[in-house]
Amino acid sequence: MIELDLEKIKRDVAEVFERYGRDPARMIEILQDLQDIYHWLPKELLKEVSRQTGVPLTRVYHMATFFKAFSLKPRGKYVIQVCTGTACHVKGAYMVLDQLKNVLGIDVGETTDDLMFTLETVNCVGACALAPVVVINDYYHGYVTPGKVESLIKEYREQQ
Amino acid sequence: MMERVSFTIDGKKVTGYKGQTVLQVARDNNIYIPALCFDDEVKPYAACRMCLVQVKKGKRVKLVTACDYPATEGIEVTTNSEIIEKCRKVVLQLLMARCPNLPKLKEIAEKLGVEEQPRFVKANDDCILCGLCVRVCEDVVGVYAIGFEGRGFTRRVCTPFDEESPSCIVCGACSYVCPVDVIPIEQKDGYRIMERWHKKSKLIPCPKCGNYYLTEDQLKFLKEKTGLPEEELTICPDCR
Repeated sequence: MIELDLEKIKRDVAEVFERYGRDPARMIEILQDLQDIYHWLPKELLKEVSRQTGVPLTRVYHMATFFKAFSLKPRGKYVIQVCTGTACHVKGAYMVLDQLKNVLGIDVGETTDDLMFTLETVNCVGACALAPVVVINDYYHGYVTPGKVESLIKEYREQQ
Repeated sequence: MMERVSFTIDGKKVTGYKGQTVLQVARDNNIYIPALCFDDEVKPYAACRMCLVQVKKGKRVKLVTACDYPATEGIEVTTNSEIIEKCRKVVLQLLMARCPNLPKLKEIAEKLGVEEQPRFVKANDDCILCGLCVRVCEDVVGVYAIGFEGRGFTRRVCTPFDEESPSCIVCGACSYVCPVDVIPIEQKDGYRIMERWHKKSKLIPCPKCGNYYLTEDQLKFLKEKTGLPEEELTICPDCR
């Protein structure tokens, strides 16, 4: 279970709302900024947004579910995208993916309990020369082998 | 005095008021145009596409939705032509593929002589996503209890997070306007229950006749809105 600090949510929503001149019409920007802080949009946060902006929860919920950029499921600080396009597939992307699943203990589409990593697959990132490619928060890692996975994850864990 | 406009529907001369839509004028003149998502009490939404008609304005003829096309001086409206029939047929077939078990849709299909298209893969849904319930809840009742979720293929109507809605007053307006009757409302053991919105509210009997007429949540809402005393609000319309 993920623990949420309700007081922090209140403060963050107030701050972001203030940033946009307390204008409820700028809901998308508000939600985007909040997602930047939390990496996803928890239920309590959406309720707080509705409370403070005066926009009905049904509307906030519709917006949050309408756009793909918003996630109502927990997402980690680092989003790991394993390329499974043709070139990467041939070069053993699935072995890399399996190793990532083992190391992180999650399946594709899931997030680790400490909210550090989210594992996803993508179909081609246009960097086939570097195959197999793993993209972590917009940084491209080329020539990844199952053996390199553990140290890669360790690197990111220690970065914070 | 409101400005009047006159035009023709299927060659018949009709007059309506400025601000009305083609569909409203047609209904006032007993001309049948099938429509599912329209209600006089809310703004037109043009979601169901059943009310397609052809409008000739000057030299141009175009297909428009009658429910939101403004009644305009001198236009020629056609409610039945080969192309309209074809479009309407596909629209209805798509709706029937989305919601295969709706008696209301079958009724309209029979009336218009439309049969199911076997090529369309059947989904197992019951909501045609016309949004009437959502619009009535927002614009007429004003409680914003239900809304849309998602988009495209996964779009649906539900309460936020599909949980019991704190703002729903179990008034039943959504159930009343639903054109395909898929929002059940039940009164049982002193409660009014709306299964679809996971909500129930205790019923309050009318102090004069004892009939159930409104729910606790409704009373609370009305009291806040009108500022009238409780005793006045609980008396049912029959006893007033």
